[in-house]
Amino acid sequence: MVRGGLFSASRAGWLAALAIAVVAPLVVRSPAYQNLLVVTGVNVMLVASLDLLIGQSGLLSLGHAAFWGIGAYTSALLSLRAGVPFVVAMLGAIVAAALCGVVIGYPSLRLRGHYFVLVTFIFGIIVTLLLTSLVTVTRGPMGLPGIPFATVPRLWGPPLVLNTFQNKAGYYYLVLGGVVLTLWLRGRVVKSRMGRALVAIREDEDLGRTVGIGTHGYKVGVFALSTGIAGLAGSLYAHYTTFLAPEIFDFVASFDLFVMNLVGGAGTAAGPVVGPVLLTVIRDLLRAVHPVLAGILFGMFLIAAIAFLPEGLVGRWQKVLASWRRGAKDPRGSFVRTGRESVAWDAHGGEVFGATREVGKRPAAGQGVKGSAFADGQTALLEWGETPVLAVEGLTRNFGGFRAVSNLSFEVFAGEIVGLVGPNGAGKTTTFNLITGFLRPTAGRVWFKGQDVTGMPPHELARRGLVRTFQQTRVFGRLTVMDNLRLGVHRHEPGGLRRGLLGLNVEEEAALERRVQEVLEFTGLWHQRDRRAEELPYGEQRMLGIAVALAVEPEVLLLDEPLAGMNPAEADATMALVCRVRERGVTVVLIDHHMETLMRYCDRLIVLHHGEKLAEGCPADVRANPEVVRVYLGDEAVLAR
Amino acid sequence: MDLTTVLQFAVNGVFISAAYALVALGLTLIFGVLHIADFAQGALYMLGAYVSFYATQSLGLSYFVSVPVAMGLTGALATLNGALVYRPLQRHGGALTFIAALGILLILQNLALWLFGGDFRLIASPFKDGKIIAWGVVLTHHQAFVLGVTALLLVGVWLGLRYTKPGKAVRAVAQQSEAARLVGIDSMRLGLATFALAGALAGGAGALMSPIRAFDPHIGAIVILKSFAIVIFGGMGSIPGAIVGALVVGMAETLTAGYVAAEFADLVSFALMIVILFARPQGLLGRAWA
Repeated sequence: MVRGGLFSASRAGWLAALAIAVVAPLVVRSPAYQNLLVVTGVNVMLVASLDLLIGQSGLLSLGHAAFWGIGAYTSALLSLRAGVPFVVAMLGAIVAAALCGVVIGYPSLRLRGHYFVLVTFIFGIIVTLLLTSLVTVTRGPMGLPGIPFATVPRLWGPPLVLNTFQNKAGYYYLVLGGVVLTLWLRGRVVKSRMGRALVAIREDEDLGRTVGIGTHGYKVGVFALSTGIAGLAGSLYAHYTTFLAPEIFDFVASFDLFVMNLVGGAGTAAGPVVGPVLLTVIRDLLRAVHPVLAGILFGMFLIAAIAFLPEGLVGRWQKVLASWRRGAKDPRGSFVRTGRESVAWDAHGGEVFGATREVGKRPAAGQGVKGSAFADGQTALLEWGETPVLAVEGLTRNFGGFRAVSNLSFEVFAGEIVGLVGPNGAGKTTTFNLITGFLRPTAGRVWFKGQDVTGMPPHELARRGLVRTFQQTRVFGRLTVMDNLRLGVHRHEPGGLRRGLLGLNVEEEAALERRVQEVLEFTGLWHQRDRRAEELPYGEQRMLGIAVALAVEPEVLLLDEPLAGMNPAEADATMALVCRVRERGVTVVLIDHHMETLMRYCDRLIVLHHGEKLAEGCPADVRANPEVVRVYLGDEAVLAR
Repeated sequence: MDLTTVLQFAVNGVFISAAYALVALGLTLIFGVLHIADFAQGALYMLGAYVSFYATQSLGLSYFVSVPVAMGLTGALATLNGALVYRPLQRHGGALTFIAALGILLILQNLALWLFGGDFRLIASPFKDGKIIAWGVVLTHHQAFVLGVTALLLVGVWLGLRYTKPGKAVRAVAQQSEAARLVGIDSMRLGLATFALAGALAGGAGALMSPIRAFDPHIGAIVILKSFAIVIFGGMGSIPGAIVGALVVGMAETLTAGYVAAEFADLVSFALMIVILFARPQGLLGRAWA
C-alpha cells in the first residue's frame, strides 16, 4: 500500500474526473452525445460492480447483464403495473436483483473452478429467455414501452419529473449520482475488512480459510452487493429509455461488460471507469461509421486488446509507472537468495525476543501459559499436560478403494511439540487435512479443546484456534508481506462491512497494525514488510507462511513439512522459532521426513505407516522400536546414531 | 397420448439432437484437449450452411458435394483460428481465450451479415418432399439422410479416437494433459488437428440441417449456446456425455414444444442445465474438473 503523497494524487485524479463528468453535459449539448453520457454512466456502474467480482474477488461472472435486466424490468413493471413512485421502484429493483444474486450465488459459490462462470452464464440466458417468453407480463419480444419518467421529490412544489426526451442533462446528473455512489461504495468495500477477505479469496481461497476467513459467506455477500448495484443501474436505465426489450440484457451484453472490465484493467481502482468510457465511446464512433463494419472491427479490437494488453489499460499504466519509479537504483526484487538473507530472520527474531530458554526444553508441568501466543490475555489459561487439547479417534479416510488413513487415534497435550513422521504416502498430510476440515473423514472423530469438531469447515476451526500451514510454500504471492499478515489477523478485526463503510475502524486498525508488526518482528520478517511475498527468497517465504498462521493466534499450530527444502542451518533456525512459539503457549504438531531434526526438538513422535499408527512415544523409545527401524530401512544410518 | 404421437416426438427429438451432437462433440473435444470453450464453433456452423447454400445455388454443385466442401472449408478456418488466435493466447488462460472466441464469433457473424445480408435462407434439399411413413410416424428422406450421416460421423470419430494414434493421443491429453506432455505428445499440434475436426463437424452440421432449418448470420450464437449447454450437461470433455446430452436436450425441446408451448422449448433445455449444474456439477458423465 502506498500512502501519503500518492494517495492525495489519486484523490486529485478522482476529483478531476468528477469535475469533467459534471461539466460534460454543459459542453456537449447535442442530445445524441448527452445520450452517450448517460449510457456511459450506466456502464460504469455495471462494470464497477462487476469488478467487485472479477477484479476484487477473482469470481468470473458472465451473467451480469441479467441482473441489470432484472433490475430494469422490476423497476419498470412496478411503476407500470403497480404505479409505485420511482424511489420505491428503484429500491424494489435493487432488492430483486440482489435476491436473485443470493439465490444463484449461494449454491454455486460453494464449488470452485469454472462452475460459477457456467452458472452465471446459463442464468443470464435463462433470464433473457424468460423475459422473452413470459409475454403476458413482459410483452416478450415486442418490448415494454411507456415506462414512466423518474420523479424526484422536492422540498417545495410538486415532484420533479425527469423527462428524458426533453432534457437528458438532468437525468444524467441522477445517473452520475449513481456512479459516484457505486464508486464510493466500491472504494469503501475494497479498503474494509471485507475487501481484504475478498483479496484472500482471489489469491488463494484455501489459505484464506486456514486463517479463519469464512470465504463462502463473503463470496455470497459480495455477489449480492454487486448484483444489487446492477439492479440499481437497471432501474436508472429503465426510467431513462422508457422502453425495454429482452435482447438488451442478453449474453452479449454480459460479455460486453466483462470485456470493458478486462480492457480497463480488472482489480485496478480506475479500470472500471476507463474501460466502459473508452469502449462505449469507441463503439459508438464505429457504429456511426458503419454498423456492420463496427461489429467486425470491435471483434478484432477485443482480440488485439487481449493479446497485447492482458492486464488492461490501467494495469499496464501502473506497471509502466512502477518501473519508472523503481528506476535503475532498485531493480525488481532479486530471486537469488544470499547466505545473509537466509539467516537474517533468525538473528533478528532472536534479538527482539531474547530467546533465553534453551531450545527443545519444555516448561515445567503445571506452569500456566496463555492459551494463545499473541492474544491479549482474553483466552483461558491452559495447564500443561492435563487434558488433551487435540485428539483424534479412529480416524479413517478412504479414496476409492485406497485407505489413506486407517483407524488412527492419538492425543496431543497442551504445550507439546509433537512430530508426525512416516515415509512418503504414510498419510501424514491426509491426517492434517482431516483434522483441519479440508477433507471429511470416512469414519472417526476429531476433538479440539474437548469439543467434537469433526467435519467443521477450516475457517471455523481457525477461529477456534486450530491453524495449519501447507506442505507447498503457500503465501498470498502478489500481496506485500504486511498485507499477508493483515489477512492473518483478519479474524480479530471487529466491525466489518458496516464499520468499514462508515469509516469507524481507525482505532482497531492501529491495534491490528501493532500486532502485525509484533508477529513480523518475532519471525524476523519486519525488514521485508513492504516487499511482495513472491519476491522473497524461499526460506523467508516459508517463514512468512508460518508468520501468517501465527497472526491468526493459534492455540494448536499444525505445520506441514516446515523444513522442506531447507539446509540444516535453516532447519535448525526454523525449529528454534518453533520452540519459541511453543514457549508462548502454542501447541505444535509438525510433519517432516527429517527424522533426525524431529528427534532433537519434539517431545513426542507419532510414526505413521500405510495410514496406520506404527509407534508413538518419546524420541528415544521410537528410535529403539524395531518396527520403526524396519520401516525406515533406508534411514537406518540415522536411527543407528 | 397415443403411441404414434410419442414415436413421432421421439423421432423429431432424435433428429434435433443430431445437429447438436455434432457441434457439441467438437466443442467437448476442444475443451478436453485445450481447455478452451470455443464459441467460434457456432460461427462455423453458420458458415457451413452458407457454403452449402452458395455452392448449390450459385455454383450449381450437387448438395452431396457441397456438404464435404463445407466441412473442408470450416475445418480449415477452425485450424486457422487455432493457429492465429488461440495459440498465441494460450498462455493467458481460460477467461481471455473465451473472450477471444467470442471476438471471433462476433467478427464472423458480422462478416456474414455484410457479405450475405440478414435474410433467412433455406437450402433446397435434393430429396424434395420424399418421406417414409411407418406406423403413422413420418420421417422425411432428408431427415433420414441427416440421421444416417450423423451416425456415420459419430461412429467414425469414435473409431478414430479409439484406434488411431492421433485419436489415442487426443484421449490421453483430454484425460491427463501433464502426463501426456511428459510422454512427448505435442498438445498444440494435436490441438490444431482437434480444431480441424471440430470445425468440420460444426460446418457439416450447418450444411446438413439447413435444408430443414432456416438460417441467418445470427444462427451461430443460438447453436453454440445450446451446444455449450449440452457439453456442460454431459460433462465438459466427455464424448459420450456430449451425445447423451444432445439426446436429452433434443427430446426435452421437442416434448416442451409439443405439450407446453414452442416458446418455452429453449427455456426448458437451459433450466435443465442449471438443475444439472446444481445437482451434479461435473455433468452427467463427466469427471470433476474443479
